[in-house]
Amino acid sequence: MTELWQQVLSGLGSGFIYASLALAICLVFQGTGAVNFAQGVMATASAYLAWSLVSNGMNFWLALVLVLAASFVLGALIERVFIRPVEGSSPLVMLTVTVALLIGLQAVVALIWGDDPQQLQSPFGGGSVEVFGARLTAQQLGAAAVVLVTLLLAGAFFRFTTLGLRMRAAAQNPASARLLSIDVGRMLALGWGLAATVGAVAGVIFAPTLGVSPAMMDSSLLLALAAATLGGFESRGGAVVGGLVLGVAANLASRYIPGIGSDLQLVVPFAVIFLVLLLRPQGLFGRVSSVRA
Amino acid sequence: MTLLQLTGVRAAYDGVQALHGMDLAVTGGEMVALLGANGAGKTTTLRAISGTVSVEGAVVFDERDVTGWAAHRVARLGVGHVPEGRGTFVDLTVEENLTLGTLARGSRLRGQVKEDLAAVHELFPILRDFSRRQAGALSGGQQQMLAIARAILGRPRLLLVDEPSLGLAPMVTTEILRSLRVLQAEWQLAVLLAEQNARRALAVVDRAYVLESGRVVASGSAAELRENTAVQDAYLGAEQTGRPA
Repeated sequence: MTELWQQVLSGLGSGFIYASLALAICLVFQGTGAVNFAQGVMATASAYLAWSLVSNGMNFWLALVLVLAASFVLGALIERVFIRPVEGSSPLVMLTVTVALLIGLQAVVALIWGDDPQQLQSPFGGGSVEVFGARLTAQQLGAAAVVLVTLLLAGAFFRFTTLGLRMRAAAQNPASARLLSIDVGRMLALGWGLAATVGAVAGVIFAPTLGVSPAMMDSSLLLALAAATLGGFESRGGAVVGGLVLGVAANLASRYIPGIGSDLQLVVPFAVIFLVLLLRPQGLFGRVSSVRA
Repeated sequence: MTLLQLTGVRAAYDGVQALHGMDLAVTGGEMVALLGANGAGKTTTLRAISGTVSVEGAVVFDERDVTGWAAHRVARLGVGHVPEGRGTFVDLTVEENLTLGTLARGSRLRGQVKEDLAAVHELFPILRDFSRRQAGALSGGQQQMLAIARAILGRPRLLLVDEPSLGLAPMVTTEILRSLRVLQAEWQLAVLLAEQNARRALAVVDRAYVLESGRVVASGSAAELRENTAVQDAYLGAEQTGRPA
């Protein structure tokens, strides 16, 4: 029982990485209709930037704040430069652009920081805590807490602020939003910036566990895509829940299903994507839009 | 004072010309109808004004040449547009839809939001009763009310309304047009109403333009056009105007 509990909790821990990446993917998808395959590598770049700052003697938390700001700007800039010209194009064009971004950014990261994996010290120290019989490291607990706060802040932003409302309006019906003096282009850039920031939180705070390398986010990206599929690309909350569920599921599968192990863990997201698309293509929380004539 | 002036406005969709040199003017505070059959250019004229279709010629609003401006910038000057199909944000609540309307006014009349909201709720009580409901769940008539209420809460100086009667029962249309007239008088707002049903439109507006094939073919006061059987027969269709054929 304790063993199971331990596995659930540590699965939940990695679930927070997938949840934040999935949320970022949703934000971009709702705004621009693009599935951003570069979301993971954008977070990788953020993690490297944090590593550079910290290894030059900067305090971890100060570095985190600076990196978040830089990621926001970078995300918005990517939207302006690469996405704006193809706005409203077919899904295939969007796919091509974000995959090109993935490959390009990965190359840029390797060019700047090299291919060697780096280690970022955990800001939470090396201690561990017992939670109802299961043992969690301070890093696991602290990282999960930081991501949880980020997700709640993002939710509150969309629900309670007028800027969040305007962003939702621009994402849902750009033509109508323009007639209400909303600068839709600016909202989309903001959405990309925000997505990059949310992804950066996960990239930096989990870097001590994942290790900083060009491929650090690759498997997380796959799990995040599965999470967004599971929760529904249209549903921010659904993507987060999907991420947590997948974290637990992947962990349990690798522990308890014979033959899967940690190498084949990625079978789980593929199975989830496959099943969801087959049984409920809009995802668990996605709505088939409720429109009346 | 002329609030809106269109001079020789031309517009095309994918190479097909929809407006062939429109000339029209709207004075502050008056209610004007655009009449004409399907495809006469009513919708395109409204879109040319709000900047949602690219045009040649000159669109001047409040002494500013807004030709070629992005739609959100035109809206900021005080042009409200209730588009064809109403443009409801279906996944947002009624309340959120209305809030977006009040946000559209920018810094103008910001202290006035509460009273304006109360006035709109009084005019369309259903929007208060359903305020937490998803806008997509409203009926067609209710969505039309929501669209007008939302546009009007932006406190525009010119409101463009596209076919409010489309798909609605005559009773509902009459009610909506009457509400529009009340607001127009109270908030000194100019209204440009595109409407296929000439009789119903001429019952509420001050003036009207009759369009055919993307230009103005007749214009005059509502009273004049109601009497002008030649224009009615030629462009508006007898059954539309309520006269026996």
